Amino acid sequence: MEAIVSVEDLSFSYGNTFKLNSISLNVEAGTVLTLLGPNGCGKTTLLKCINALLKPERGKVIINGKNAYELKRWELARLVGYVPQAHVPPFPFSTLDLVLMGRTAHLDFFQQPSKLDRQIAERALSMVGLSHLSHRPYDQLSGGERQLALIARAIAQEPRLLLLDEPTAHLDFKNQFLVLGMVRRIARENGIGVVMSLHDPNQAIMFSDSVALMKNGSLFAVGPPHSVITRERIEAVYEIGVRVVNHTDGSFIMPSMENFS
Amino acid sequence: MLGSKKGIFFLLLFLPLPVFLLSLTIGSYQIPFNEVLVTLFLSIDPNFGSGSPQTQIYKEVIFMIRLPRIILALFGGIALSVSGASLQSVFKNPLVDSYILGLSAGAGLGAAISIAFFPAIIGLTQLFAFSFSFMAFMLTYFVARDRGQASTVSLVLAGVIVTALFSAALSIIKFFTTPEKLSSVVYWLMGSMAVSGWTEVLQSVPLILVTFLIITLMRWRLNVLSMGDEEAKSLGINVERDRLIILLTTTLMVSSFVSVAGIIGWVGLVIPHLVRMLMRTPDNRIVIPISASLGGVFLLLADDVARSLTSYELPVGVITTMIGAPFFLYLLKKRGGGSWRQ
Amino acid sequence: MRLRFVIFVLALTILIVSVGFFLTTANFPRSPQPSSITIQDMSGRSVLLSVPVNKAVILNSYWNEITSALGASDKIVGIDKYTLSSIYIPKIVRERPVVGDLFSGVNLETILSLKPDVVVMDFGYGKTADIIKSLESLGIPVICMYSNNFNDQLNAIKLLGKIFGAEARAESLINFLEIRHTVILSTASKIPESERPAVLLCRVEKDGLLTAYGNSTWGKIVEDVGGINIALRKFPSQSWPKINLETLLAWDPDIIIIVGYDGAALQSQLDLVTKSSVWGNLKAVKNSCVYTVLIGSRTEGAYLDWGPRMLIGEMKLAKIIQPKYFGEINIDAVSDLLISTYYNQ
Repeated sequence: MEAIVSVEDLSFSYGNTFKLNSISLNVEAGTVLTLLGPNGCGKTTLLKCINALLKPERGKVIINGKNAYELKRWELARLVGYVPQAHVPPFPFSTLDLVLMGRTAHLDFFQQPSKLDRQIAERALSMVGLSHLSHRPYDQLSGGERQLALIARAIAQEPRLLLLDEPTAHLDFKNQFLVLGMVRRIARENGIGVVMSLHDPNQAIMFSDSVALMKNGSLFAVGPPHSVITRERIEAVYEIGVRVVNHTDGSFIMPSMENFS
Repeated sequence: MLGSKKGIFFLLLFLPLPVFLLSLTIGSYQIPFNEVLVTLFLSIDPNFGSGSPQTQIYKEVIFMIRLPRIILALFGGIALSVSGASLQSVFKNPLVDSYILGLSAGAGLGAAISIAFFPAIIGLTQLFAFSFSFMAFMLTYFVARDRGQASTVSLVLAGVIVTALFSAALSIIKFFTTPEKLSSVVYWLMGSMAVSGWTEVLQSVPLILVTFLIITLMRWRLNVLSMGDEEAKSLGINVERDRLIILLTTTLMVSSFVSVAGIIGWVGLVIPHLVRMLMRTPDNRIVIPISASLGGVFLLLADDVARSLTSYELPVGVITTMIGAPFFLYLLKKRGGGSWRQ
Repeated sequence: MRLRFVIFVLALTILIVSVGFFLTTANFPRSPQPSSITIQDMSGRSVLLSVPVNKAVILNSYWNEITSALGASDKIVGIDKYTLSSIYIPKIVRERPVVGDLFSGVNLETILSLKPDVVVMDFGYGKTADIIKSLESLGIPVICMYSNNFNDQLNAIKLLGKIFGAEARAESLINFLEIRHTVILSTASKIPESERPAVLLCRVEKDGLLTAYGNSTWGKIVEDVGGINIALRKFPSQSWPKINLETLLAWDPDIIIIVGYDGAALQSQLDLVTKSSVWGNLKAVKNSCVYTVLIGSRTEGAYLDWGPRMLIGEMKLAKIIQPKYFGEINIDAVSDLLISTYYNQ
């Protein structure tokens, strides 16, 4: 399969400290890549570099055959949808208006969204199952609904690649799985490549096609979830003792309770 | 986008029309309502009929005194409220108004310099006020720029610094100038359209019209910009460029009005807020046009009061503040800040 | 390409605005006055006017005062805000509609509704330029007035007399003032340089600074009556220089004259002076040569002002500065005569 995005030898630093050190990755259409690693390991920085919000010192990001750093913002936004963590914007737009913002990259400079744009936004909302909330102010939605609305906005961009920065942060137990399931479904059904960052190795196992384990700005391991997420690697990256628990659905990671006694 | 709000939207959008006609009939020179209409018709069609013997003087009052002033107030209100709404989106803060970038301090300094040093040159005060407020904006922008980026926080800070700087310079001029010139500066800062005629209209309205058109066409982009720099970029907006265009456009818009009418406060803060509350949406596709019509109506009515309440003139800037500030307080208390959140 | 369009629109806009500024000279036709004469006003403009005028709006208190002194108070139909506070202007004038003032602007419709034949006003400051332009575009003749010294006041009286058809009375008032003024000038001119004291005519501000009268009408009177105006000598070009206490100590004038609009203003200034130990070091304070003079038109006994009362103010300063030469002048007699002849109707 053809790679939607390939990151080639990417390095980024703040001052003298490396935030990213020679990262190379590929994501294929319809697959989900999860970035896994402790806080400050460079997951968010990498997502921002892929989306050209940050410019690396070295390396390239090729999206759909084009160098991301040579594209104009609107050209890039037609290829990449970025889903930030659920937030509360200063102005309480309706959920539909928020999703409609995803169409901006397809508009001319002085153009307002058309009826067609509105239909696309409505379809994106119904894909995430929020049609009934389209006229509700976005800030009155629950955390999970807000995250879904932001995903719908990224879908409305009609991108080839979806980037999600910790989509499960601040969500309750049920909503975490609802959102992740939605992401995987969207990737498969639309042939979109997905790169997301997660905190929980088990969620990475359950919802990704491949996992990139990161530590201190470097890639520790990349590959299918089960080959990457092993006891040794998790202990080395997170510096905490863990156990692997085998279950009918697969094997999962548990922290050893000796850590806390 | 409108849905059930269609009725109120068009009602508010066309509200300036009746207020415009009403304002033509208001003034300390008594003209009966029907005579105003007759005079208007006569000006369109000279064969409409013979007016009363006073028609000539009515014509002077209506076309030389009232009409230019009404047009100026209408477009001034548009400029102040639309720029307020735009900057609130750009700065992601509903408590920002058009003077945040140092425009008022710049205009004040420019006017003071021309009043203090070149009192004899007609029209120079306007020109100086305009160029200095533009200069203040440019200074704010370049002080705020760091590695090619001007973040909203540094813009606000730079605006505060530039305002302080220009105000200090203004104080020095006020201190050293003569009492008469000092009074002129003080009254200029209060804002008034008392002796505005067609000249002032010609000097400001065309620019306000063009810049208003640009902002109206960019109103969807304003929505996206209000989501924050990174999100707006991700959604396909060249944030630096679009923000500069909006800052530049609003600066031109406000400066051109302030330069002929002085500093008139609170319109840019109160009107967009009221519109968001009435229309129950922050969507600039609705907020921008309705802010324009309500802003125009507000300043027009305030100026009607300024010119007809007494035999002399009240400073309209004082009236807008006296209505605007308590009203804003009422909005905040009533809504508990509900039309926006931090 | 889109950006280029925006730049184009902005450039176009700036062009339109510049055109707007150039069109400022555009004038609108005004209706000609029948049986009118041309009057040269004090700004040098030629004004078409049908005289004598029967209705005038006068926008400065001193021109209202002179017009009233000429017996034409019934012809004043509109006044400015500051005229209200002058006690030297007849009540009927002060009851006329206030149309605004030269700093904050005037209500053009009110002026129009008063149907004046002429508007009389200062020029060269505040909103005067805009007001003149607006009034002229409405076809109302405007007479601009000006004064920088005693003679300008006499010229103003003459001009107002001509406008209101009171030439004879204007002539008599001018004579009254001119004779006495000339005597003062000729007496003062004979005073030897060695007998001329250094004088500071000033206002003590709340912050302890002083506003001195330098190159101004009153500042020049100090020199006219045989004093050395120390502020004028040090800062020849400044009308109202602000000076601090150190400068005051360095100048150490022989005579200090403090001015104020009313008794309270004078008292509060004197309080500032007596509270400060600095002032005790001054020659003028040690020798009890600190005087107060009422200015303006707000209280009884205020004579240092524009208008006919300027003569009395001049006499007061003469008596303070050169008691040896002007001690004989009976100021009360002159002011009583002036007031009874020209101010009571």
